[in-house]
Amino acid sequence: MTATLEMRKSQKIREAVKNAGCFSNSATREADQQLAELDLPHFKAEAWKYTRVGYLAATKWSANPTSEIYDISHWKADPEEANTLVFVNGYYRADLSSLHEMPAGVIVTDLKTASEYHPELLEAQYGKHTVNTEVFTALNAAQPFGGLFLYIPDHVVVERTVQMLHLVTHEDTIAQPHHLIRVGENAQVKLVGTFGSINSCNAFVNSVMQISVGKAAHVQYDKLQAEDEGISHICTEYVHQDAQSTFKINTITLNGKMIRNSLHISVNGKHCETYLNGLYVGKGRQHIDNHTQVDHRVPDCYSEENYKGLMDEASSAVFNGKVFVRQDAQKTNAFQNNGNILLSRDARVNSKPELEIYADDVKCSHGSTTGRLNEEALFYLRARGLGKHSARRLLIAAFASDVLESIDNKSVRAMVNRYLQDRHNWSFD
Amino acid sequence: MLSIKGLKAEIEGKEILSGIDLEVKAGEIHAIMGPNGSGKSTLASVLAGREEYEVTGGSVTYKGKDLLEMAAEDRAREGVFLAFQYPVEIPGVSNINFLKTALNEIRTSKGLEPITAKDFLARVRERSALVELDTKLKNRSVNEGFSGGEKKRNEIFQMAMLEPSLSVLDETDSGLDIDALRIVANGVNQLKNETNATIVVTHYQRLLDYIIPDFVHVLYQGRIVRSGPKELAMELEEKGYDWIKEENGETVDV
Ligand SMILES: Nc1ncnc2c1ncn2[C@@H]1O[C@H](COP(=O)(O)OP(=O)(O)O)[C@@H](O)[C@H]1O
Ligand SMILES: [Mg+2]
Repeated sequence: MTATLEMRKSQKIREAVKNAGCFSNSATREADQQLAELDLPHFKAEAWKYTRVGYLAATKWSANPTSEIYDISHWKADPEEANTLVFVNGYYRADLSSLHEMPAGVIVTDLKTASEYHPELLEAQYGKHTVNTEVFTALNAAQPFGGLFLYIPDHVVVERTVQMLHLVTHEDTIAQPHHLIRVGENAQVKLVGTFGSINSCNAFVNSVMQISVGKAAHVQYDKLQAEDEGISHICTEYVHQDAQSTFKINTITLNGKMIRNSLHISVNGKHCETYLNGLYVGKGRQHIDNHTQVDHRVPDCYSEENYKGLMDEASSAVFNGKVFVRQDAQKTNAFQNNGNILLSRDARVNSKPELEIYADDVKCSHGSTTGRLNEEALFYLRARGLGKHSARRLLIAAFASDVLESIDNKSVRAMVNRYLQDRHNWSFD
Repeated sequence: MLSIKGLKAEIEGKEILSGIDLEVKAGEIHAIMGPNGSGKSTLASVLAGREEYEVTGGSVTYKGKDLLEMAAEDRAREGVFLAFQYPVEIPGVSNINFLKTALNEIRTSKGLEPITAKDFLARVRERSALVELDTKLKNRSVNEGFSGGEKKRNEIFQMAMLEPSLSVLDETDSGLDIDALRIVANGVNQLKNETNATIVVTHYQRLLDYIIPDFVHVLYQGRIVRSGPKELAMELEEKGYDWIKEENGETVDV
């Protein structure tokens, strides 16, 4: 009985996005068939225990490929320099985007164009690393509205940042961007993803990103989620690392109604480095869930994860960090830390590091703390003349500083600071 | 400058200060001595505005104002300074940024412009030299990984930077070797003038060889049981605190 009811829920959303995708091929059709068999996650499912998503079926969502013009200047990373691809309600907007000349062989375009001009490259990449048994991934993969298609050949270093600038607008909008990124052997790129909203109290962003990091390649991704209080966002990334590659991701979540980040990183070649940092800041009744997974399949790799949460008012957060160290993955070094500060009595955090280690010669550690601002330190600062607010701000900035310092892109960092100033009245300079 | 009358304070329902009277005038140095647990730090904390302590009686007037009505930060802005017995380590907050923020919030409260970067640095250079504070420590996180002696010097450095009117030094001598003690005492003496006052809280007479008090008070079981000139400290050193305890009706194992 329950099953059919839940089934109806996922199929309602499936109906809403029918024919909303920007292309279709055998992979999208396959995803759609898989979707037909899937329910929305039940709260009894371990991975969704503390995050309820059933309410997403209560809205009659609609895809909304609008051509309205917006001022996007304050969302832009490296305004004069970056390649900025703008997605409104998940659809690519060439008119708002700015693309620069790129090194020879680099393809930077949108998914729809790629499906027309580079179908064989798209086919080789699309769906290669996604897991369509995850209902939100299948939902997106069946109907991708638009996305970045980035192909970087071997040995090419892309100097200019590539930004995916997302905006969602209007009531009851559903948006499904899907980004495909392939970074060749020994190549390098810096990515920025920003998510915002304009004039919407209820919208649902279901985004997917696939990144292939080639042998000895370097990829850095700074991701900023700052949609308004009414926006739900399920954000799923699949990262595939080849040998000797470095992948760094910073996930900064500053607003939104319900944000779920599912980050899957699979480390498939020796001597890789993987860095995952996160900062989430909650207020009101926001709910922020970070599920991360690093799958060490081979020996001699290094991963380091550091997520920090600052939760105010009645907000809640979930952190679940899975690290698999497979039997073959000897000499793995994997470190994980999750720290949370509760700024009010009503804020809550569920933190669960999960190390599953099947190899015997490894160095792994994890730590998780949830507490309040140090009262002794607050008094010390106030006894030197700092007001309550500045004393709190200093301690908060100190707590978040290591994650903020890992943000590579200066303009993203400025955006974060500005946002924290406007929304929380914390100045961090 | 400071007038304490019949001050009573408790924590978690336990009375710690049972009626303290103390008058401190500008230009004076007062020493408060007493055995461990007698309430010295409690008195210092109550003066600095720690909220865990509940004042249950008496009054404290500072520069004509009701000190007990003021928040901790307002007391600091009005010139009250507590050198902590146990300075807190604050990872991630740079010593120097914190001091600059403190100094500027104090200045703003007085309607003054923020200090210029140049003046600030000049002051840091001059005042850290006063207590021979290692330059590296200025840029580190507040007290993080400092040795006991470095923490105490950092307290006096902060005092030198903020130029308070009333300084309460809580066991600033404990954990210092003789050289460090001399340096800290020298810092305090140099900052001393006709317009400010110092209360030196100490367990031992040792510090008072370097900072010469005008008055010595003995605190025992939450009361000042004896006050006198600096010679009282010598007497305490000779006879020990048992003498005070016996006088106050406690049996002492010999
Ligand atoms: N936070 C506290 N909770 C309970 N008792 C306390 C607390 N702080 C101090 N006390 C008690 O108050 C008494 C005086 O302590 P304190 O003022 O630190 O003495 P002193 O500084 O003279 O050694 C002691 O008996 C101590 O145990
Ligand atoms: Mg004490």
